[in-house]
Amino acid sequence: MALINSEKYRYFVENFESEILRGISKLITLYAIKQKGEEGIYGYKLARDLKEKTSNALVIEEGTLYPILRKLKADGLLVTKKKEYNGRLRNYYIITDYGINIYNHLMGFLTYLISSLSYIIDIDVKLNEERYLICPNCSNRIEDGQINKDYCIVCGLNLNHFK
Amino acid sequence: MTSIIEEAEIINKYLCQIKKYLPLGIRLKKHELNDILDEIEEHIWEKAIESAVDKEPNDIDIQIAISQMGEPQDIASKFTTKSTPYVYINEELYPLYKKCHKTILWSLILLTVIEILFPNLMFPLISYQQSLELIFVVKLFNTLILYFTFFAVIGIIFCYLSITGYIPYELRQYSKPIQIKKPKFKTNFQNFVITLEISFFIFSAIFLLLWKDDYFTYMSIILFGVSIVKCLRQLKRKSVIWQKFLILLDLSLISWIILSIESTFYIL
Repeated sequence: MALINSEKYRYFVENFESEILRGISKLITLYAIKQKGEEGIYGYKLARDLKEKTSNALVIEEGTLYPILRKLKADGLLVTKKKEYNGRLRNYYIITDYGINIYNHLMGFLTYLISSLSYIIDIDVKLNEERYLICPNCSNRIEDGQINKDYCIVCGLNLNHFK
Repeated sequence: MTSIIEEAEIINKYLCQIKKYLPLGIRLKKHELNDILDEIEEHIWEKAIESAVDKEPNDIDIQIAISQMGEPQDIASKFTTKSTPYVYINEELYPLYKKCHKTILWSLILLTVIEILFPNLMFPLISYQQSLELIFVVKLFNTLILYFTFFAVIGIIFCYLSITGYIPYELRQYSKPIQIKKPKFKTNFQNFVITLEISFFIFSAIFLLLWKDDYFTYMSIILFGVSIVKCLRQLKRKSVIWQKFLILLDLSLISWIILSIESTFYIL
């Protein structure tokens, strides 16, 4: 019998997968919203974009997306703006500066984690160091716009020695 | 035209089901509730329009969009934030609970001070012929009684809110595969408190029974009943209804004791 037919096996694997995806789905949602900048993005478009960009690997259930967005909004990472389209009001989600800082920090942590685990999971990870820098102290990801700054905005570490 | 109404009705029915299962915290905030439902409705329409391609979406397109959204109960459960239990009231609700107590206590103190200073302002028909000291003691006692009554009422409300906040989905959903194991033995302190409670109720019941008065006999029967329930509490019962019943019993007992003290005071 194939292992996947065992309920116990499926229950364990599904639970484990959903635990891993829970955090990542928030991060990827922030990524997709950040890409739209000041213009913002509405729920349905976001769900479609996420499906396309992750080649269906990270499928956030449509019913799950709105609670995530609401939570991120309540935490001050997103703001909403209502725009009318065909007589209906759409909620456009826009990332805040605070949200960008959190996103960079978490993305840096994820990058650092994957690169550190590369030996264990037997994959080659090549960091694009020309485009961003990972703070050696707090794992904050310092991107294009902030790379010329002398200090990491999260932990205040002097970055001049690491450039 | 009829078709559009039918489609709107299908969506409305689905939204009503989601609304029914949403946590009380969201249902109480009308603006937030409408915002969530509007957004889900918008999503369903977008999806239906997309699957209808160039024509107007019909009821089948709407049904497909709804089925892809998921079960109303599942969607609603995602909006439930898991709270941290703290005694009978959630840790998240506890600051508000404390704030309510402070507000009520200060309002009652203020009211009592006004009542003592201007007795004819609050109850002009009642004549105050007693001494000022007696009025002061009575007022102070009334304030305490009112405070403890509010304490019981607020306690019941917050317990209800705490229970509704996370029990309906999480406990019911996961109660079968994940059994929360209780410690086999209670701590010495817990045993001491429970024994003290039971003894208190049994002694009070015997005392009231010996009084040979109809009212007190009736009260003693209630107290014997309470002692039995308290004894049964020792049994390993895990059902949510049983836990809720015990919480309500404790709170109603507190209010009953307060009212009894008040009536005894007036009898004396």
